[in-house]
Amino acid sequence: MQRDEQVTFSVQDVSVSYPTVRGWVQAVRNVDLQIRKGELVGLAGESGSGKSTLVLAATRVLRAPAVKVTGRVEIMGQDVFAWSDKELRAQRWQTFSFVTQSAMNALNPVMRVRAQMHDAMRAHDANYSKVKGDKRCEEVLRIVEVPAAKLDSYPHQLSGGQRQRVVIALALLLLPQLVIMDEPTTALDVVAQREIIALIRRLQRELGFAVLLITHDLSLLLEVADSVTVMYGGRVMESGTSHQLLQGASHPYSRALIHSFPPLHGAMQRQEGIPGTPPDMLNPPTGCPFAARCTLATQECSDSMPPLMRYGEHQVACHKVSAADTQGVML
Amino acid sequence: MSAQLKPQRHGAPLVIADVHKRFTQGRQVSHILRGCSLTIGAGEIVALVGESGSGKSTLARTIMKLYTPDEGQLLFAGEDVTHAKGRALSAYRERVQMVFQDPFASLNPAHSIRTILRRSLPPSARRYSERQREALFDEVLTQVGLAPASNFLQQFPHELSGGQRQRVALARSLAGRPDLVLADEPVSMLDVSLRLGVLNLMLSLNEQYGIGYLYITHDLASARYVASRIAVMYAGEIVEEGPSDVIVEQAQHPYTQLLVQAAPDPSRRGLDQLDESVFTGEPPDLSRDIQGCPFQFRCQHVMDQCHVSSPPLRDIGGGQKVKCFLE
Repeated sequence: MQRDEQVTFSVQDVSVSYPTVRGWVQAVRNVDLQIRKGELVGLAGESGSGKSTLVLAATRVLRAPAVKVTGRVEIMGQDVFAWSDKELRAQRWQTFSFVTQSAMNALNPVMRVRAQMHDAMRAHDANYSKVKGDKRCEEVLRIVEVPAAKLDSYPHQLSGGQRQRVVIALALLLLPQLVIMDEPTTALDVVAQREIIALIRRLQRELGFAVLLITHDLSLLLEVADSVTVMYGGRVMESGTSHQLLQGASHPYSRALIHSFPPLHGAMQRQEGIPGTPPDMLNPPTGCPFAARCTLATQECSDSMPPLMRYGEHQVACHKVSAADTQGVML
Repeated sequence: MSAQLKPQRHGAPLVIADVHKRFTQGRQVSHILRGCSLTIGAGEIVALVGESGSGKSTLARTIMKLYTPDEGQLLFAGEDVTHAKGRALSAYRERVQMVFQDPFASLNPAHSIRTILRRSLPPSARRYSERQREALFDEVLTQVGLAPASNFLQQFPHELSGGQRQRVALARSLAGRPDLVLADEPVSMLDVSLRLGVLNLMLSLNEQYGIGYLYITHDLASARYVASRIAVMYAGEIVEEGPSDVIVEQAQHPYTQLLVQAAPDPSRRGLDQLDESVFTGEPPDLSRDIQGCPFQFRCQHVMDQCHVSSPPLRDIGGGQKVKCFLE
């Protein structure tokens, strides 16, 4: 297969299941995802939609026998599941890195920032030296706009926003091509969140890495991401550019999700949330996972899962959506 | 013959007048509330907006009398409750209730919903018969949309979804027939698709029973959605307040303008249009004395007088008040 040089991260038909005492839970089913060089791609979904599971399994953070993963994942054209443990270790941080969920608590509370950065470099940089490492620490702290003096602070001496910046600086230590950020701003208030997002965008422009941003905040993604994939019940419901989704999200779930955020400006009217609750993944519905909460659902929807149809760059998995609906025409 | 169930109340005004609260830690004194004044009318929904550490939750806890103000007054339904104790305090707490942020932490996991509701019954409900209690539980669970109540009463919190748990927390606050409910970030821990449901529930309880709310959040969009008035808090002071639309569309205080700009807004595509330099600085250290306006360190329009004295909360008409020297 010929490789597209521009593709940084490619997930092909990946499914992930967890064993539990009550049987296998299919947390992620047949998901495709692609991120190109320098892009910011958003992965949106509620808790339990499988978004974190997908990236953790795709980057081999979750391993057998804790999970069963099928499908193919490529990072910079290399098959992730074919790497030996040693190769995987060499790729981490060098090629891809993480900003984990609850990054506020991701730092070791009893280690100074400098020591934590050295730890990461010692483990993942073949050419590590103490002097070089110190220089790099100061560089990354400068690019995330934290005073270099904070290198000798403990995490509790930093504010929430600073801690978040330090975690981002850690991820950038070895200049990876892909940074996966799992809810990087959830614990922060709006002003700090905006600062961090603006920072990520600027660093991307300057350093050219790609970002996979996982969040439940669709209104934020629509504003800042290049393209967005919406997951529900372990499946991709819709994906497209932010512009397409904003102009005409076609899937009833994405549209309901967009309407779940009251607008900041303009006329205010009573909005309805989405009735019902997310599906039980232990007993997943055979058809569309959203059918039980969907206003358009018919028998067909609860009987069979609609395939993910491709309309140009826009993809939708819904029986009730036809090609015409994806051309910016609202249902 | 036991007592009749209490009738619904119809709201009562709360006046917070120049409240100060300091916390001492060793020799360090942190001045968290620095003269807060705010009025919540009978049956009114007021949103309190500000970033983490601005003192929003401290104000709510002070209103609940979990903390006693060091200075200033709390007037509820015309009565001074600042130093209320004993019976007067429990009567006050029956009428002013609180709903917490995290419904996964605020409900005891070892208790059934029935026990959780029974435990939270106000003193005035002690005379109720068993049947009346069940009727009350039935009523409050139905009010929050958990019907039929009999299904939910025997369940435990882990059997409910986040949205349902937050409804139980709301039902618990309703059992005392409150005039005012302090809701501290009631939807921020909930799934996005369930948030509007809880906010709409608060709105309909307000419409039907005249229950007032102090809705604490850092999300301006949801504040505008539920509240008729928004008060913006910064470093322990109310820096601006006014009708919700006015606050969002014609914010006068530089900090409010910062909040409006920081709020996610899909209609404004592309961060490149945004000036990153606007978002700089951090809130001041409240354990030190601040000379002048607390926002001077981040303000784009800072003037000489801002370093000298703190501006008064000026009434600029249309119900809008601003604590800033800028005209």
